[in-house]
Amino acid sequence: MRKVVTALVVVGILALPAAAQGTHPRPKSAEKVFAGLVPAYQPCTAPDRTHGPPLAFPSCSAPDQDSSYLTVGTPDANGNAVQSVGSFYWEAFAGVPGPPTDNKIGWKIDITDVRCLAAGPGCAAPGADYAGSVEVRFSSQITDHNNNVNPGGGSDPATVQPFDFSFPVTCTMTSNPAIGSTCSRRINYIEEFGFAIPDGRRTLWEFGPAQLWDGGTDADGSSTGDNTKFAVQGVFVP
Amino acid sequence: MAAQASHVRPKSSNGKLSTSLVPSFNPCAAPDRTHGPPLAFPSCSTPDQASSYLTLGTPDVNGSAAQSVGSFYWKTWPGLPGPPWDNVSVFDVSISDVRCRAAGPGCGAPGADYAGSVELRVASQISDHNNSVNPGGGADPGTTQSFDFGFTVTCTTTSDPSIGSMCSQHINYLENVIGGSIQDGKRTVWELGQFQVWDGGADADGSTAGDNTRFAVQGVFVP
Repeated sequence: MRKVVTALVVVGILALPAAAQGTHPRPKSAEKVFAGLVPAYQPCTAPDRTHGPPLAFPSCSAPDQDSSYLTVGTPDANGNAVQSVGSFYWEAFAGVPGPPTDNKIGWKIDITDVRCLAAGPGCAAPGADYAGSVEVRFSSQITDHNNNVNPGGGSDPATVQPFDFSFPVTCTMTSNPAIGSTCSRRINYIEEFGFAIPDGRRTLWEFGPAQLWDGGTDADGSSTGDNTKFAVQGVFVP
Repeated sequence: MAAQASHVRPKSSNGKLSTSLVPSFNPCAAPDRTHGPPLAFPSCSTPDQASSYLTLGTPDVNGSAAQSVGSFYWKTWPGLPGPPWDNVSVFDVSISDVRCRAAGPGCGAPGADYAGSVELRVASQISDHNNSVNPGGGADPGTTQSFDFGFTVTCTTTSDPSIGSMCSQHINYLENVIGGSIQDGKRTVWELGQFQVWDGGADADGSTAGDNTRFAVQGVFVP
């Protein structure tokens, strides 16, 4: 799996738009994804309980957060009020056909009440506001007409090898001790890479579940090797 | 029973999850092209649909107009605390212009409206306070083993030859899915994987999952 991070060097070669050629079916439109975010837990590998019916699956007692560094306020877990709300939003806007290329893809991520599990970089104390960054990550696969035998792009239809698309998100401490940090970012493809997805490429972007990874031992979401999964797309019923 | 300590949870998950759906393609295993920058990854020419049975109208592929729009929507409303259990989860899935790749069960001819069913599937993991050493549930905190959550979606042929079938289902978890509501106070954190629609397989029946192949997944499209 390959990873795209914001540090990716932008190669600003804009191929002239070419009409898409046959071979891959596509929808009329597919424009939006909105996902709530919930804390991620370690998989259950040695079950010692059974879940209540009707979802009576084997389960593991003592849920174990995936993240080794971050948490959210929960009275009976860490004494803080329940305040966290998180979401991920992805929107695609088709531009006007023909140059200039003006298709837009944008992402919006917000999560509140982000707190530290333990003292360390970005973390003054357990339960303190987190002063580092996190990483949005989702697995991706693109099928389009922007491929060539040689580097630089072209008009050949193809499916890329799966890759992880990701970008860091800065977290900001709050002045209110009753709520932890807010991690928030709005970003669009053009700002990120310097140009738009060209017209007529019939770009199908399949993607996996939205995930939010912590900043790891260095509290830096952009240095991804040490990050652990903090939140994923999901729902919560109180 | 009141939830007991030990697993962190959000205030809310915004109460909904919605995604558009795009056709799914097989992974690229032996690249012979390179994608254009900045996403300059190795790629495989001749995209190969993951579904062996279903497709969508696309002029330069099968001569039919591009008409398909697909979406999935999951909405939850917490009920009043205490019995009766009245938390509500509602699912809406729809995908239009669903057509056959070849003749067979549910398929009169290549390009014809699909007359079978499909399957909505999403990998799931639940952490909550509805676990016990013995079957039947209880108040112990626990994380379930991963499982696939899904349901069958019926496809209806259209009278208009210019557009394929409509696969659509409105589901109420309490009434339709598994005959029970998510109970109050269980602090249910439901982690979800990629939303997927699988075809009905060789028998055109989404509920017999062994032969189904992946048809569409969450994603976006830029024309």
